[in-house]
Amino acid sequence: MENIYKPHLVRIEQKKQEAPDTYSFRLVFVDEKMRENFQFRAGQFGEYSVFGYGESPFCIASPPTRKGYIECCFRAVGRVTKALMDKEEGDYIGFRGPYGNYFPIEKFYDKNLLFIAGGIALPPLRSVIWNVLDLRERFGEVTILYGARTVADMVYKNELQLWEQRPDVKLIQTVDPGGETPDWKGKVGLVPHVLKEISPQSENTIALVCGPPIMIKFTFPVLKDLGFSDEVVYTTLENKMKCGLGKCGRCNIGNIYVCKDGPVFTLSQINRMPPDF
Amino acid sequence: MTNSVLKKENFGKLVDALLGAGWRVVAPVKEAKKTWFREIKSIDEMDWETLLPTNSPKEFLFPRTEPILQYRFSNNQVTVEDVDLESPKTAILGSRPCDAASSEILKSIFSWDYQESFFWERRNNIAFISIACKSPATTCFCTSVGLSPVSPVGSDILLTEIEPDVFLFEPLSPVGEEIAALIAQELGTTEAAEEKKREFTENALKDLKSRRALDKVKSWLDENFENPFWQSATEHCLGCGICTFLCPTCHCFDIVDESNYFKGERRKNWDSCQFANFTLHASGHNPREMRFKRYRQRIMHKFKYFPDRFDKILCVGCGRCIQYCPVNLDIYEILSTIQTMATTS
Ligand SMILES: Cc1cc2nc3c(=O)[nH]c(=O)nc-3n(C[C@H](O)[C@H](O)[C@H](O)COP(=O)(O)OP(=O)(O)OC[C@H]3O[C@@H](n4cnc5c(N)ncnc54)[C@H](O)[C@@H]3O)c2cc1C
Ligand code: SF4
Ligand code: FES
Repeated sequence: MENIYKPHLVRIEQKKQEAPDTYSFRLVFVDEKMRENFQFRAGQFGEYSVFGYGESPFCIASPPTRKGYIECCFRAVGRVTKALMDKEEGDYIGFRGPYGNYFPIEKFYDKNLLFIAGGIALPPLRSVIWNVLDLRERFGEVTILYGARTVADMVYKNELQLWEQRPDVKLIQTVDPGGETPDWKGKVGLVPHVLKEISPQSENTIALVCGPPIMIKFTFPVLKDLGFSDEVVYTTLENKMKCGLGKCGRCNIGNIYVCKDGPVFTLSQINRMPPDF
Repeated sequence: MTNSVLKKENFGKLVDALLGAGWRVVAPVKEAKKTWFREIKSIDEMDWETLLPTNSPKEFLFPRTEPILQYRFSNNQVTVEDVDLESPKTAILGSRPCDAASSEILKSIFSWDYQESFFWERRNNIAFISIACKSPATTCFCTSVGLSPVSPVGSDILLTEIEPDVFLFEPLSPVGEEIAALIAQELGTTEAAEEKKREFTENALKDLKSRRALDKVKSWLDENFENPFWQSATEHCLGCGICTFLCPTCHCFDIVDESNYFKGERRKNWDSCQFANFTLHASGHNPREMRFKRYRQRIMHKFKYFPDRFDKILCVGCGRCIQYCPVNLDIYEILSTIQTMATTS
């Protein structure tokens, strides 16, 4: 029987600092077959491990439309993530996955998409955004609202520039009041406020929201006011996880295993959960 | 029904036959004033008196700590290897029906979706040779969770003491038959086996008469995630977690690395939902910071979430958690109160 906890070795092909304490890695499977055959969907996650330190779950931040590698972006907050931060290009780490459910991209065909991301939570949406942009003609308008505490805290800065330049993407960037720099050209204000200000249309539109709990909490009511029903608002939950396989019992909310049934949920699914997250 | 019997004086031969056939034999053994499931080499080591050992047989299926992989470092390279899983054929002699049933419950979790090899390679090598309970303890409540002192669930052989020192010998699985064949010569027969067993059962059930059905608990839990009851009922819980470690069905675990400069292991360790850091996010946010929320999780998981998901109650009524809780929190009392609230509301 297969050892479900055994990670694959991946080599760090590219390491980039995205923000203070925040890094992104491009990872390539050492095993050639894995490199060719590895498949996943936008929104899924994996367990990344530094041998000797342990494992951490992160989303797969690259889109499934780009083959040959996967990417992750993480903030160094604890034991594993700090050890991961010390790894350099050419080093080996472990990866097992993909785990969990995903954003049902096919259901979004011909719809407008409104992405709302806060701080370090851009990576899961980045996977969807590139997935969508790589198949651009299948979707309606694409709007991205991205906010961070400060300009420095924004991740994937060069990609934000790419999106900014594209005529087929509407990008709105904002930083919390006080987080701007003298040459900041974006907005200043909290994500929910800016959302209200730009008032995107809700007709035929799907909203995908990822951010810190406090941002999410204040964003949902604004979406409701704008006419988004709970069925078309998607978000991800990031419970504490260990196994990612529905075994260790750590990630549950009621009878839901976030690692198996999630991490992607619609707001209407979340509303049915007990308030235990 | 079989009419085979094994006399108490021949249990030694059963042990010897098992050992001879390459089985490891585990049985209740008295040690340091308590009784524990331990490997035995002779029937003389077995404690016949104690109803339930302190530890549950869970640890023979799912050890409290075990390596799940190992790795070696050299020149900036790492090699990852599987560990050799030790899983000798193991006969658990003197398990009780509740403990045997718990292994069936654990199967659900270790086999839904992903098959967990560590559990299964052990489970497939384990035989439960259970002894039906003649006099259940005051902490037992198996009948409230759908089991009984003579329940066959999970056992490979069930032994019932239908006459003093004479045990009805019922093989219940192919492995049970295999073991029966090992000691066929020692087995006798009895008359009116069925009737004697019925008598035994009636007697055993007398001790459990005061234990109520808990059939309304689930529907109350469905509606009462938020109820002041949770706080008042569990106020004195210390959060020590002994209830979860002794529980034969609790199965939550942690995954940790242990290493030195040259090599290391990744290990799976028992964990407990009663500990604050069980759900603590790296951000500092904790959905179950307060103890009553963690205790609520324990009850909800066992009597609502797990049944919702796997159609089984995550409790066998062994009562170990009642017996060993340092502040006498009694899960049966809590469930019984819930049953009352559900019936009267
Ligand atoms: C599905 C999913 C996807 C995720 N995706 C990403 C992602 O893409 N990028 C990303 O950066 N993160 C992501 N996360 C979060 C990430 O998994 C955690 O940040 C990471 O596991 C932390 O691991 P660590 O070992 O470094 O931290 P740990 O060493 O576990 O450090 C944090 C621990 O230290 C303690 N601790 C930390 N802070 C405090 C505090 N303030 N007060 C008290 N104790 C504290 C707690 O025990 C806590 O669990 C995701 C999580 C999930 C579940
Ligand atoms: S054994 Fe008792 S005190 Fe300890 S966690 Fe369980 S209920 Fe609380
Ligand atoms: S992370 Fe282990 S059960 Fe979900």
